[in-house]
Amino acid sequence: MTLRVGDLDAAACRSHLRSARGLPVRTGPFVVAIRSPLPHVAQAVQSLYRHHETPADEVVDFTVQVSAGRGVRRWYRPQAVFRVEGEPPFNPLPLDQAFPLLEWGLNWCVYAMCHQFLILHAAVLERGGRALILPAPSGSGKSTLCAALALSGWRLLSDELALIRPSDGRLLPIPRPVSLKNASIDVIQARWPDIRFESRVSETSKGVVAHFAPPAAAVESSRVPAAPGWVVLPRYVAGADARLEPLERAQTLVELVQNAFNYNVFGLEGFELLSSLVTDSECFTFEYADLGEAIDLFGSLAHRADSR
Amino acid sequence: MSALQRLVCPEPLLVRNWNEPLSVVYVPASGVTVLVTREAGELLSRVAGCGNANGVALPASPETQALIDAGLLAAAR
Repeated sequence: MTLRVGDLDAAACRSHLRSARGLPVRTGPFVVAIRSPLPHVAQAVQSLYRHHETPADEVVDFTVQVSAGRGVRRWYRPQAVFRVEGEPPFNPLPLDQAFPLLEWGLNWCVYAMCHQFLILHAAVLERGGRALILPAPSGSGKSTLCAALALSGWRLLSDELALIRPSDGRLLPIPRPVSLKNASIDVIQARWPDIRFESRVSETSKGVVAHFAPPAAAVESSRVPAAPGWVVLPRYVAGADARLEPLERAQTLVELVQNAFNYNVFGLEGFELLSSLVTDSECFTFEYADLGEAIDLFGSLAHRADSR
Repeated sequence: MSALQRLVCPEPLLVRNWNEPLSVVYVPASGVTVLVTREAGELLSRVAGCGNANGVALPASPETQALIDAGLLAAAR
């Protein structure tokens, strides 16, 4: 039987996180060893990664650590430092931002180092074997829409990173804690009161940030890829009716290029991959204000594809 | 009738179109991906696919001039 992080009691989880080897966590195609002596990080990891496997004997792809800064910073405005393989790639952040820093750092590890995949800045969900790719910049409403769909029957592959496998163009899941910001937190909480937000931190560079655990089913099926189905560029527009408008494939491809982390690494292969992806997808822009309307519209989209 | 000019693609390139008003062009040498009109994409396909060192004879037009200005087409020597 595979051990999951949630099977560990709090003391065991803390002990793993404090150990030199760290707590191994499988997240999609990667095994990450997480190290941290910080109690609030341990609490967040234990809760938000509770559905994730913690494999005992597998090769670790990267070891990350988040710990308190040293020197006078221990007493005066204490800071959290993120390290990967012992090196800090970023400046420290205030100590209460240690868990968001861990999450941002893990994203960085994937998009900066894992060039076996073409990686887009996009949320990805799945219905009926087809991936819905939501590439968009911050502030577009992508994360809120992704969270709502993940809680409405769509399988979450990622709220942040689309991993495209070069061998077949499929999207690989990497479900991790879902990050929301500012008003989105209350919008989701109001609609799904049972969702438990953790590690709520204010005054980050993005404002208030909080996370909730990905649905168990999404984590359990994190070895199941999805074929491209839809590419949708979302945009939250206050007061707008939910509306999908077809987007030309050429324009969609250019949007994907602009949201790719490592397109230049892939060269011609990257162009061929994205060309195939848009060829195999229906492409739209999407404006919305009301999540209920958005959920219904995407449900219709999936239903229409199922009935073809 | 517009004057004919013999044009070549200074770099190899790929054109993709989906029978929609816009096409994309990829220039492997620079890694640049460019959005062009379908007509421009068709012109580029003709030139890129000809494999002729003397280039392809095309009428001078705003479309070809825009592609020359973008560095996707050049006069054959």
